[in-house]
Amino acid sequence: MTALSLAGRTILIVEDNFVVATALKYLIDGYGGSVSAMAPNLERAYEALAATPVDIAVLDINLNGTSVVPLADHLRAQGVPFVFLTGYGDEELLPPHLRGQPRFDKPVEAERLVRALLDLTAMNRG
Amino acid sequence: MSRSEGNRATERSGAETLGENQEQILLERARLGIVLIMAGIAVVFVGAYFLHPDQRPYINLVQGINFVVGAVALRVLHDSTRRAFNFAIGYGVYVVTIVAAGTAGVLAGDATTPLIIFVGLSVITATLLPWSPWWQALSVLVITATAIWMVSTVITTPHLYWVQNVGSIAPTLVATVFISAALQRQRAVVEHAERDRCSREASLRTANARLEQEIQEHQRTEEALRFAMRELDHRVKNTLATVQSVADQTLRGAKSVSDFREAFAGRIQALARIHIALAGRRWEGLRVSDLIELVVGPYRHDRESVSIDCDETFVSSELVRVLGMTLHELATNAAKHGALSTKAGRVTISSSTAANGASRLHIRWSERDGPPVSTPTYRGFGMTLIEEALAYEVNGRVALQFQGGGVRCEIEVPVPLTSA
Repeated sequence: MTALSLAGRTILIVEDNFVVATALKYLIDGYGGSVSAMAPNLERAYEALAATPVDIAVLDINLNGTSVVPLADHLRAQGVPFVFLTGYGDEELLPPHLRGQPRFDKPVEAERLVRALLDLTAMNRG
Repeated sequence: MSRSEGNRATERSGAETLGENQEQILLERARLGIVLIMAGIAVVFVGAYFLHPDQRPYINLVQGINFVVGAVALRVLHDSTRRAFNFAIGYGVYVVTIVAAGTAGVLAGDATTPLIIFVGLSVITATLLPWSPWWQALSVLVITATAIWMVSTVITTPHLYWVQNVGSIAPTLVATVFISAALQRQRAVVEHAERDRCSREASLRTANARLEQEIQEHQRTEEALRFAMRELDHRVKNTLATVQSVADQTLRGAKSVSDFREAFAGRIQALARIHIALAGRRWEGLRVSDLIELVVGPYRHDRESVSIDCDETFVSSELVRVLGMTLHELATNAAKHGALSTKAGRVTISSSTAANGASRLHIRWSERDGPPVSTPTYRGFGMTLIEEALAYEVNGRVALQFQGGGVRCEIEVPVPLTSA
Protein backbone atom coordinates (compact mmCIF):
# COMPACT_ATOMS: atom_id res chain seq x y z
CA MET A 1 0.00 0.00 0.00
CA THR A 2 1.43 3.34 -1.02
CA ALA A 3 0.97 6.45 1.14
CA LEU A 4 -1.30 9.13 -0.31
CA SER A 5 0.73 11.79 -2.05
CA LEU A 6 -0.19 14.85 -4.01
CA ALA A 7 3.38 15.38 -5.14
CA GLY A 8 3.60 17.05 -8.52
CA ARG A 9 0.04 18.39 -8.40
CA THR A 10 -0.63 22.11 -8.56
CA ILE A 11 -3.83 23.05 -6.82
CA LEU A 12 -5.91 26.25 -6.66
CA ILE A 13 -7.93 26.96 -3.50
CA VAL A 14 -10.98 29.19 -3.87
CA GLU A 15 -12.40 29.83 -0.40
CA ASP A 16 -13.57 33.12 1.12
CA ASN A 17 -12.63 32.31 4.73
CA PHE A 18 -8.93 32.95 5.34
CA VAL A 19 -8.60 30.51 8.23
CA VAL A 20 -10.30 27.70 6.32
CA ALA A 21 -8.29 28.47 3.18
CA THR A 22 -4.95 28.41 5.02
CA ALA A 23 -5.92 25.17 6.79
CA LEU A 24 -6.61 23.63 3.38
CA LYS A 25 -3.30 24.93 2.09
CA TYR A 26 -1.43 23.32 5.01
CA LEU A 27 -3.40 20.12 4.45
CA ILE A 28 -2.39 19.98 0.80
CA ASP A 29 1.17 21.00 1.63
CA GLY A 30 1.21 18.19 4.16
CA TYR A 31 0.37 15.65 1.44
CA GLY A 32 3.10 17.00 -0.79
CA GLY A 33 0.91 19.03 -3.14
CA SER A 34 1.65 22.54 -4.29
CA VAL A 35 -0.92 25.27 -3.78
CA SER A 36 -0.63 27.77 -6.61
CA ALA A 37 -2.83 30.35 -4.87
CA MET A 38 -5.64 30.92 -2.40
CA ALA A 39 -8.40 33.10 -3.83
CA PRO A 40 -11.22 34.64 -1.74
CA ASN A 41 -13.31 35.65 -4.76
CA LEU A 42 -13.84 34.99 -8.49
CA GLU A 43 -11.71 37.92 -9.62
CA ARG A 44 -8.62 36.74 -7.72
CA ALA A 45 -9.27 33.17 -8.85
CA TYR A 46 -9.22 34.19 -12.54
CA GLU A 47 -6.01 36.20 -11.94
CA ALA A 48 -4.40 33.20 -10.26
CA LEU A 49 -5.43 30.87 -13.10
CA ALA A 50 -4.00 33.28 -15.67
CA ALA A 51 -0.70 33.44 -13.76
CA THR A 52 -0.29 29.71 -13.03
CA PRO A 53 -1.97 26.77 -14.76
CA VAL A 54 -3.33 24.23 -12.26
CA ASP A 55 -4.06 20.50 -12.23
CA ILE A 56 -7.11 20.75 -10.01
CA ALA A 57 -9.15 23.28 -8.06
CA VAL A 58 -10.98 23.20 -4.73
CA LEU A 59 -14.02 25.49 -4.87
CA ASP A 60 -16.14 26.82 -2.03
CA ILE A 61 -19.63 27.03 -3.58
CA ASN A 62 -20.67 30.20 -1.76
CA LEU A 63 -18.08 32.98 -1.83
CA ASN A 64 -19.47 35.45 0.68
CA GLY A 65 -22.81 35.39 -1.10
CA THR A 66 -21.43 35.03 -4.65
CA SER A 67 -21.88 31.74 -6.49
CA VAL A 68 -18.74 30.00 -7.73
CA VAL A 69 -20.64 28.50 -10.71
CA PRO A 70 -19.17 30.79 -13.44
CA LEU A 71 -15.65 29.78 -12.38
CA ALA A 72 -16.66 26.08 -12.35
CA ASP A 73 -17.99 26.39 -15.91
CA HIS A 74 -14.78 28.15 -16.95
CA LEU A 75 -12.66 25.34 -15.44
CA ARG A 76 -14.80 22.67 -17.07
CA ALA A 77 -14.34 24.39 -20.45
CA GLN A 78 -10.57 24.40 -19.83
CA GLY A 79 -10.63 20.71 -18.87
CA VAL A 80 -9.46 21.42 -15.33
CA PRO A 81 -11.09 19.06 -12.77
CA PHE A 82 -12.44 20.47 -9.52
CA VAL A 83 -14.23 19.56 -6.29
CA PHE A 84 -16.75 21.60 -4.34
CA LEU A 85 -16.72 22.54 -0.67
CA THR A 86 -20.18 23.14 0.74
CA GLY A 87 -21.98 24.25 3.81
CA TYR A 88 -25.45 22.73 4.18
CA GLY A 89 -27.90 24.17 1.64
CA ASP A 90 -25.24 25.46 -0.73
CA GLU A 91 -25.97 22.65 -3.23
CA GLU A 92 -29.08 24.64 -4.18
CA LEU A 93 -26.75 27.23 -5.73
CA LEU A 94 -25.51 24.61 -8.20
CA PRO A 95 -27.17 24.17 -11.61
CA PRO A 96 -28.10 20.56 -12.50
CA HIS A 97 -25.10 19.99 -14.78
CA LEU A 98 -22.69 20.60 -11.87
CA ARG A 99 -24.47 18.47 -9.28
CA GLY A 100 -22.55 15.35 -10.28
CA GLN A 101 -19.20 16.90 -9.28
CA PRO A 102 -17.53 15.62 -6.09
CA ARG A 103 -18.70 17.61 -3.08
CA PHE A 104 -17.25 17.81 0.41
CA ASP A 105 -19.15 19.06 3.40
CA LYS A 106 -17.43 21.47 5.70
CA PRO A 107 -15.60 20.67 7.87
CA VAL A 108 -13.58 18.58 5.44
CA GLU A 109 -12.29 15.07 6.11
CA ALA A 110 -8.70 15.43 4.98
CA GLU A 111 -8.11 11.92 3.65
CA ARG A 112 -11.34 11.74 1.62
CA LEU A 113 -10.55 15.08 0.02
CA VAL A 114 -7.00 14.06 -0.86
CA ARG A 115 -8.22 10.76 -2.33
CA ALA A 116 -10.74 12.58 -4.52
CA LEU A 117 -8.07 15.05 -5.69
CA LEU A 118 -5.82 12.13 -6.60
CA ASP A 119 -8.60 10.28 -8.46
CA LEU A 120 -9.52 13.34 -10.49
CA THR A 121 -5.94 14.20 -11.47
CA ALA A 122 -5.23 10.54 -12.30
CA MET A 123 -8.27 10.43 -14.60
CA ASN A 124 -7.22 13.66 -16.19
CA ARG A 125 -3.71 12.39 -16.87
CA GLY A 126 -4.68 8.83 -17.75
CA MET B 1 -68.31 37.41 9.21
CA SER B 2 -68.86 35.20 12.26
CA ARG B 3 -70.71 31.92 12.02
CA SER B 4 -73.80 33.15 13.94
CA GLU B 5 -74.08 36.18 11.65
CA GLY B 6 -73.95 33.88 8.66
CA ASN B 7 -76.78 31.76 10.08
CA ARG B 8 -78.91 34.81 10.75
CA ALA B 9 -78.40 35.99 7.18
CA THR B 10 -79.57 32.61 5.86
CA GLU B 11 -82.70 32.71 8.05
CA ARG B 12 -83.53 36.22 6.95
CA SER B 13 -83.15 35.28 3.31
CA GLY B 14 -85.42 32.25 3.83
CA ALA B 15 -88.15 34.41 5.33
CA GLU B 16 -87.89 36.79 2.41
CA THR B 17 -88.16 33.98 -0.13
CA LEU B 18 -91.38 32.90 1.58
CA GLY B 19 -92.68 36.53 1.52
CA GLU B 20 -91.72 36.86 -2.14
CA ASN B 21 -93.63 33.70 -3.01
CA GLN B 22 -96.80 34.91 -1.27
CA GLU B 23 -96.44 38.25 -3.01
CA GLN B 24 -96.04 36.48 -6.33
CA ILE B 25 -99.23 34.37 -5.82
CA LEU B 26 -101.22 37.50 -4.85
CA LEU B 27 -99.92 39.31 -7.90
CA GLU B 28 -100.83 36.43 -10.21
CA ARG B 29 -104.39 36.30 -8.81
CA ALA B 30 -104.82 40.07 -9.20
CA ARG B 31 -103.51 39.83 -12.73
CA LEU B 32 -105.91 36.98 -13.52
CA GLY B 33 -108.81 38.98 -11.99
CA ILE B 34 -108.13 42.07 -14.07
CA VAL B 35 -107.69 39.99 -17.23
CA LEU B 36 -111.07 38.29 -16.62
CA ILE B 37 -112.75 41.65 -15.98
CA MET B 38 -111.26 43.12 -19.16
CA ALA B 39 -112.26 40.01 -21.14
CA GLY B 40 -115.80 40.29 -19.76
CA ILE B 41 -116.04 43.93 -20.76
CA ALA B 42 -114.70 42.99 -24.21
CA VAL B 43 -117.45 40.36 -24.56
CA VAL B 44 -120.10 42.96 -23.59
CA PHE B 45 -118.84 45.47 -26.20
CA VAL B 46 -118.39 42.92 -28.99
CA GLY B 47 -121.82 41.42 -28.13
CA ALA B 48 -123.37 44.91 -28.34
CA TYR B 49 -121.74 45.36 -31.75
CA PHE B 50 -123.39 42.20 -33.11
CA LEU B 51 -126.74 42.44 -31.22
CA HIS B 52 -127.32 46.16 -31.84
CA PRO B 53 -125.40 47.04 -35.01
CA ASP B 54 -127.36 50.26 -35.27
CA GLN B 55 -126.21 51.60 -31.87
CA ARG B 56 -122.66 53.07 -31.85
CA PRO B 57 -121.36 50.24 -34.10
CA TYR B 58 -117.69 51.29 -34.50
CA ILE B 59 -117.27 52.30 -30.89
CA ASN B 60 -118.56 49.00 -29.57
CA LEU B 61 -116.29 47.07 -31.93
CA VAL B 62 -113.20 49.17 -31.19
CA GLN B 63 -113.81 49.03 -27.42
CA GLY B 64 -114.29 45.26 -27.61
CA ILE B 65 -111.04 44.76 -29.55
CA ASN B 66 -109.29 47.25 -27.27
CA PHE B 67 -110.16 45.31 -24.12
CA VAL B 68 -109.21 41.99 -25.72
CA VAL B 69 -105.82 43.39 -26.70
CA GLY B 70 -105.37 44.92 -23.21
CA ALA B 71 -106.23 41.61 -21.55
CA VAL B 72 -103.84 39.62 -23.77
CA ALA B 73 -101.08 42.20 -23.26
CA LEU B 74 -101.50 42.09 -19.49
CA ARG B 75 -101.45 38.29 -19.47
CA VAL B 76 -98.44 37.94 -21.74
CA LEU B 77 -96.29 41.01 -21.24
CA HIS B 78 -95.56 40.99 -17.52
CA ASP B 79 -92.12 39.36 -17.61
CA SER B 80 -89.97 41.92 -15.78
CA THR B 81 -86.78 40.66 -17.44
CA ARG B 82 -88.10 41.73 -20.88
CA ARG B 83 -88.95 45.27 -19.91
CA ALA B 84 -87.86 46.94 -23.18
CA PHE B 85 -89.91 44.48 -25.25
CA ASN B 86 -92.97 44.90 -22.99
CA PHE B 87 -92.60 48.65 -23.13
CA ALA B 88 -92.55 48.67 -26.95
CA ILE B 89 -95.55 46.30 -27.29
CA GLY B 90 -97.49 48.15 -24.55
CA TYR B 91 -97.09 51.53 -26.18
CA GLY B 92 -97.70 49.98 -29.61
CA VAL B 93 -101.06 48.77 -28.32
CA TYR B 94 -101.72 52.18 -26.85
CA VAL B 95 -101.00 53.96 -30.16
CA VAL B 96 -103.30 51.55 -32.06
CA THR B 97 -106.00 52.19 -29.42
CA ILE B 98 -105.73 55.97 -29.73
CA VAL B 99 -105.92 55.89 -33.52
CA ALA B 100 -108.81 53.39 -33.63
CA ALA B 101 -110.82 54.84 -30.75
CA GLY B 102 -110.15 58.38 -31.91
CA THR B 103 -111.49 57.56 -35.37
CA ALA B 104 -114.54 55.74 -33.92
CA GLY B 105 -115.20 58.52 -31.42
CA VAL B 106 -115.04 61.20 -34.09
CA LEU B 107 -117.48 59.20 -36.26
CA ALA B 108 -119.90 58.62 -33.34
CA GLY B 109 -119.42 61.98 -31.63
CA ASP B 110 -119.30 60.72 -28.00
CA ALA B 111 -117.01 60.45 -24.92
CA THR B 112 -115.56 57.00 -25.59
CA THR B 113 -112.25 58.18 -27.01
CA PRO B 114 -110.76 59.87 -23.91
CA LEU B 115 -112.15 57.09 -21.68
CA ILE B 116 -110.38 54.38 -23.65
CA ILE B 117 -107.17 56.34 -23.81
CA PHE B 118 -107.35 56.96 -20.05
CA VAL B 119 -107.82 53.26 -19.28
CA GLY B 120 -105.11 52.16 -21.72
CA LEU B 121 -102.62 54.64 -20.27
CA SER B 122 -103.39 53.61 -16.71
CA VAL B 123 -102.92 49.91 -17.43
CA ILE B 124 -99.71 50.47 -19.32
CA THR B 125 -98.32 52.79 -16.67
CA ALA B 126 -99.21 50.45 -13.80
CA THR B 127 -97.96 47.25 -15.37
CA LEU B 128 -95.47 47.79 -18.14
CA LEU B 129 -93.53 51.01 -17.68
CA PRO B 130 -90.09 50.95 -16.06
CA TRP B 131 -90.38 51.94 -12.42
CA SER B 132 -88.23 55.02 -12.67
CA PRO B 133 -89.32 58.45 -11.35
CA TRP B 134 -89.13 60.18 -14.74
CA TRP B 135 -91.39 57.66 -16.48
CA GLN B 136 -93.85 57.82 -13.58
CA ALA B 137 -93.95 61.60 -13.65
CA LEU B 138 -94.51 61.57 -17.41
CA SER B 139 -97.31 58.99 -17.09
CA VAL B 140 -99.05 60.90 -14.30
CA LEU B 141 -98.85 64.04 -16.44
CA VAL B 142 -100.32 62.34 -19.53
CA ILE B 143 -103.03 60.54 -17.50
CA THR B 144 -104.02 63.77 -15.75
CA ALA B 145 -104.33 65.59 -19.09
CA THR B 146 -106.40 62.71 -20.47
CA ALA B 147 -108.62 62.71 -17.36
CA ILE B 148 -109.34 66.42 -17.74
CA TRP B 149 -110.16 65.84 -21.41
CA MET B 150 -112.37 62.84 -20.47
CA VAL B 151 -114.31 64.71 -17.77
CA SER B 152 -114.92 67.72 -20.01
CA THR B 153 -116.22 65.40 -22.78
CA VAL B 154 -118.32 63.16 -20.50
CA ILE B 155 -120.22 66.14 -19.09
CA THR B 156 -121.55 66.98 -22.58
CA THR B 157 -122.35 63.33 -23.45
CA PRO B 158 -125.88 61.76 -23.13
CA HIS B 159 -126.53 60.39 -19.64
CA LEU B 160 -126.83 56.71 -20.54
CA TYR B 161 -123.62 56.48 -22.53
CA TRP B 162 -121.26 57.76 -19.83
CA VAL B 163 -122.95 55.64 -17.14
CA GLN B 164 -122.30 52.64 -19.38
CA ASN B 165 -118.70 53.67 -20.07
CA VAL B 166 -117.81 54.60 -16.48
CA GLY B 167 -119.51 51.46 -15.17
CA SER B 168 -117.43 49.25 -17.41
CA ILE B 169 -114.21 51.07 -16.85
CA ALA B 170 -114.31 51.66 -13.06
CA PRO B 171 -113.45 48.06 -12.05
CA THR B 172 -110.57 48.10 -14.49
CA LEU B 173 -109.17 51.23 -12.87
CA VAL B 174 -109.54 49.80 -9.34
CA ALA B 175 -107.78 46.60 -10.41
CA THR B 176 -105.08 48.62 -12.13
CA VAL B 177 -104.37 50.64 -8.99
CA PHE B 178 -104.22 47.41 -6.96
CA ILE B 179 -101.93 45.67 -9.42
CA SER B 180 -99.71 48.73 -9.56
CA ALA B 181 -99.31 48.72 -5.78
CA ALA B 182 -98.59 45.00 -5.80
CA LEU B 183 -95.98 45.41 -8.52
CA GLN B 184 -94.31 48.21 -6.63
CA ARG B 185 -94.12 46.07 -3.50
CA GLN B 186 -92.74 43.20 -5.54
CA ARG B 187 -90.07 45.41 -7.07
CA ALA B 188 -89.06 46.66 -3.62
CA VAL B 189 -88.74 43.09 -2.37
CA VAL B 190 -86.69 42.04 -5.38
CA GLU B 191 -84.43 45.07 -5.05
CA HIS B 192 -83.99 44.45 -1.34
CA ALA B 193 -83.12 40.81 -1.99
CA GLU B 194 -80.65 41.87 -4.68
CA ARG B 195 -79.01 44.41 -2.35
CA ASP B 196 -78.84 41.81 0.38
CA ARG B 197 -77.28 39.27 -1.99
CA CYS B 198 -74.75 41.88 -3.13
CA SER B 199 -73.82 42.76 0.44
CA ARG B 200 -73.53 39.08 1.36
CA GLU B 201 -71.36 38.52 -1.67
CA ALA B 202 -69.25 41.54 -0.74
CA SER B 203 -68.74 40.33 2.81
CA LEU B 204 -67.89 36.86 1.52
CA ARG B 205 -65.39 38.40 -0.87
CA THR B 206 -63.88 40.47 1.96
CA ALA B 207 -63.59 37.40 4.18
CA ASN B 208 -62.07 35.46 1.30
CA ALA B 209 -59.55 38.19 0.55
CA ARG B 210 -58.60 38.35 4.23
CA LEU B 211 -58.11 34.60 4.29
CA GLU B 212 -55.95 34.70 1.18
CA GLN B 213 -53.89 37.50 2.69
CA GLU B 214 -53.41 35.47 5.86
CA ILE B 215 -52.33 32.46 3.83
CA GLN B 216 -49.86 34.59 1.92
CA GLU B 217 -48.48 36.07 5.13
CA HIS B 218 -48.16 32.59 6.55
CA GLN B 219 -46.32 31.45 3.43
CA ARG B 220 -44.00 34.44 3.62
CA THR B 221 -43.26 33.72 7.28
CA GLU B 222 -42.60 30.08 6.48
CA GLU B 223 -40.34 31.08 3.60
CA ALA B 224 -38.43 33.50 5.87
CA LEU B 225 -38.13 30.78 8.50
CA ARG B 226 -36.81 28.28 5.96
CA PHE B 227 -34.34 30.88 4.73
CA ALA B 228 -33.26 31.63 8.31
CA MET B 229 -32.77 27.91 8.98
CA ARG B 230 -30.70 27.48 5.83
CA GLU B 231 -28.67 30.53 6.80
CA LEU B 232 -28.19 29.16 10.31
CA ASP B 233 -27.08 25.77 8.96
CA HIS B 234 -24.71 27.55 6.64
CA ARG B 235 -23.22 29.54 9.51
CA VAL B 236 -22.92 26.50 11.74
CA LYS B 237 -21.08 24.53 9.03
CA ASN B 238 -18.80 27.47 8.34
CA THR B 239 -18.19 27.94 12.04
CA LEU B 240 -17.33 24.26 12.45
CA ALA B 241 -14.98 24.52 9.47
CA THR B 242 -13.38 27.57 11.07
CA VAL B 243 -13.02 25.76 14.41
CA GLN B 244 -11.45 22.77 12.70
CA SER B 245 -9.06 25.02 10.80
CA VAL B 246 -8.19 27.05 13.92
CA ALA B 247 -7.53 23.79 15.80
CA ASP B 248 -5.30 22.45 12.99
CA GLN B 249 -3.26 25.61 12.85
CA THR B 250 -3.08 26.19 16.58
CA LEU B 251 -1.80 22.66 16.93
CA ARG B 252 0.77 23.26 14.23
CA GLY B 253 2.32 26.18 16.16
CA ALA B 254 1.91 24.77 19.68
CA LYS B 255 5.02 23.90 21.69
CA SER B 256 3.12 21.90 24.33
CA VAL B 257 -0.36 20.61 25.11
CA SER B 258 -0.97 23.40 27.65
CA ASP B 259 0.29 25.91 25.10
CA PHE B 260 -2.24 24.53 22.59
CA ARG B 261 -5.04 24.43 25.16
CA GLU B 262 -4.52 28.08 26.15
CA ALA B 263 -4.20 29.43 22.61
CA PHE B 264 -7.08 27.34 21.23
CA ALA B 265 -9.43 28.19 24.11
CA GLY B 266 -8.62 31.89 23.70
CA ARG B 267 -9.42 31.80 19.98
CA ILE B 268 -12.64 29.82 20.40
CA GLN B 269 -13.77 32.11 23.24
CA ALA B 270 -13.14 35.17 21.06
CA LEU B 271 -15.20 33.60 18.25
CA ALA B 272 -17.94 32.74 20.75
CA ARG B 273 -18.08 36.28 22.16
CA ILE B 274 -18.29 37.71 18.64
CA HIS B 275 -21.03 35.21 17.77
CA ILE B 276 -23.10 36.07 20.87
CA ALA B 277 -22.80 39.82 20.24
CA LEU B 278 -23.76 39.43 16.56
CA ALA B 279 -26.68 37.11 17.31
CA GLY B 280 -27.93 39.67 19.85
CA ARG B 281 -28.00 42.22 17.05
CA ARG B 282 -29.66 39.90 14.53
CA TRP B 283 -26.45 39.51 12.51
CA GLU B 284 -26.62 43.11 11.36
CA GLY B 285 -23.16 43.99 12.65
CA LEU B 286 -21.50 45.87 15.51
CA ARG B 287 -20.12 49.33 16.19
CA VAL B 288 -16.34 49.27 15.98
CA SER B 289 -15.99 50.53 19.57
CA ASP B 290 -18.23 47.68 20.84
CA LEU B 291 -16.27 45.11 18.84
CA ILE B 292 -12.93 46.26 20.24
CA GLU B 293 -14.23 46.31 23.81
CA LEU B 294 -15.67 42.83 23.28
CA VAL B 295 -12.43 41.31 22.00
CA VAL B 296 -9.74 43.28 23.84
CA GLY B 297 -11.69 44.03 27.02
CA PRO B 298 -11.05 40.61 28.66
CA TYR B 299 -7.28 41.27 28.52
CA ARG B 300 -7.51 44.48 30.54
CA HIS B 301 -5.91 43.77 33.92
CA ASP B 302 -6.60 47.19 35.38
CA ARG B 303 -8.61 50.20 34.34
CA GLU B 304 -5.72 52.07 32.69
CA SER B 305 -4.05 49.20 30.88
CA VAL B 306 -6.27 49.44 27.78
CA SER B 307 -7.74 52.66 26.49
CA ILE B 308 -10.16 52.63 23.62
CA ASP B 309 -10.85 55.80 21.69
CA CYS B 310 -12.98 54.73 18.76
CA ASP B 311 -15.64 56.17 16.54
CA GLU B 312 -19.13 54.76 16.05
CA THR B 313 -18.61 53.27 12.58
CA PHE B 314 -20.81 50.26 11.99
CA VAL B 315 -19.07 47.06 10.93
CA SER B 316 -20.98 44.37 9.02
CA SER B 317 -21.19 40.85 10.44
CA GLU B 318 -18.75 39.39 7.88
CA LEU B 319 -16.16 42.04 8.64
CA VAL B 320 -16.80 41.71 12.38
CA ARG B 321 -15.70 38.07 12.30
CA VAL B 322 -12.36 38.59 10.55
CA LEU B 323 -11.61 41.95 12.18
CA GLY B 324 -12.47 40.48 15.58
CA MET B 325 -10.12 37.53 15.05
CA THR B 326 -7.34 39.88 13.98
CA LEU B 327 -7.82 42.07 17.06
CA HIS B 328 -7.98 38.98 19.25
CA GLU B 329 -4.57 37.86 17.96
CA LEU B 330 -3.13 41.32 18.68
CA ALA B 331 -4.59 41.23 22.22
CA THR B 332 -3.45 37.69 23.01
CA ASN B 333 0.01 38.48 21.65
CA ALA B 334 0.17 41.61 23.84
CA ALA B 335 -0.93 39.59 26.86
CA LYS B 336 1.75 36.97 26.23
CA HIS B 337 4.72 39.00 25.05
CA GLY B 338 3.74 42.69 24.86
CA ALA B 339 2.38 45.58 26.89
CA LEU B 340 -0.41 43.59 28.55
CA SER B 341 2.12 41.15 30.03
CA THR B 342 3.29 43.73 32.61
CA LYS B 343 1.45 45.89 35.09
CA ALA B 344 2.87 49.14 33.73
CA GLY B 345 2.20 48.37 30.05
CA ARG B 346 -0.46 50.30 28.16
CA VAL B 347 -2.38 49.66 24.95
CA THR B 348 -4.13 52.47 23.14
CA ILE B 349 -6.61 51.65 20.39
CA SER B 350 -8.13 54.44 18.33
CA SER B 351 -10.13 54.50 15.17
CA SER B 352 -11.37 56.96 12.62
CA THR B 353 -13.25 56.73 9.37
CA ALA B 354 -12.13 58.61 6.29
CA ALA B 355 -14.35 58.91 3.28
CA ASN B 356 -12.78 59.77 -0.01
CA GLY B 357 -14.76 58.01 -2.70
CA ALA B 358 -15.21 54.88 -0.64
CA SER B 359 -15.21 54.88 3.12
CA ARG B 360 -12.24 53.37 4.96
CA LEU B 361 -11.96 52.55 8.62
CA HIS B 362 -8.53 53.10 10.23
CA ILE B 363 -7.69 51.36 13.49
CA ARG B 364 -4.42 52.19 15.26
CA TRP B 365 -3.12 49.73 17.85
CA SER B 366 -0.28 51.10 19.91
CA GLU B 367 1.55 49.49 22.85
CA ARG B 368 3.95 51.26 25.24
CA ASP B 369 5.65 50.87 28.61
CA GLY B 370 5.80 47.12 28.17
CA PRO B 371 8.83 44.89 27.81
CA PRO B 372 11.13 45.66 24.87
CA VAL B 373 10.00 43.91 21.71
CA SER B 374 11.71 42.85 18.52
CA THR B 375 10.50 41.30 15.27
CA PRO B 376 9.88 37.64 16.02
CA THR B 377 11.93 35.07 14.14
CA TYR B 378 9.08 32.56 14.00
CA ARG B 379 5.83 33.48 12.25
CA GLY B 380 3.04 31.51 13.89
CA PHE B 381 -0.62 31.26 12.97
CA GLY B 382 -1.47 34.37 15.02
CA MET B 383 1.02 36.51 13.16
CA THR B 384 -0.12 35.18 9.77
CA LEU B 385 -3.71 35.87 10.66
CA ILE B 386 -2.99 39.43 11.80
CA GLU B 387 -1.08 40.31 8.68
CA GLU B 388 -3.00 38.43 6.01
CA ALA B 389 -6.61 37.66 6.93
CA LEU B 390 -8.02 41.17 6.43
CA ALA B 391 -6.18 41.60 3.16
CA TYR B 392 -7.41 38.21 1.99
CA GLU B 393 -11.07 38.48 2.96
CA VAL B 394 -12.00 42.14 2.70
CA ASN B 395 -9.19 43.77 0.76
CA GLY B 396 -7.88 45.49 3.88
CA ARG B 397 -4.34 46.63 4.70
CA VAL B 398 -2.40 45.80 7.85
CA ALA B 399 0.99 47.18 8.82
CA LEU B 400 2.50 45.46 11.89
CA GLN B 401 5.68 46.89 13.40
CA PHE B 402 7.77 45.66 16.32
CA GLN B 403 9.41 48.88 17.49
CA GLY B 404 11.53 49.05 20.62
CA GLY B 405 8.79 50.78 22.62
CA GLY B 406 6.07 48.27 21.75
CA VAL B 407 4.00 46.75 18.99
CA ARG B 408 2.26 49.07 16.60
CA CYS B 409 -0.36 48.00 14.15
CA GLU B 410 -2.18 50.06 11.55
CA ILE B 411 -5.33 48.49 10.16
CA GLU B 412 -7.29 49.86 7.26
CA VAL B 413 -10.47 48.23 5.94
CA PRO B 414 -13.15 49.38 3.50
CA VAL B 415 -16.58 49.87 5.05
CA PRO B 416 -19.87 50.88 3.41
CA LEU B 417 -20.42 54.63 3.27
CA THR B 418 -23.55 54.48 5.39
CA SER B 419 -22.97 54.14 9.11
CA ALA B 420 -25.37 53.60 11.97
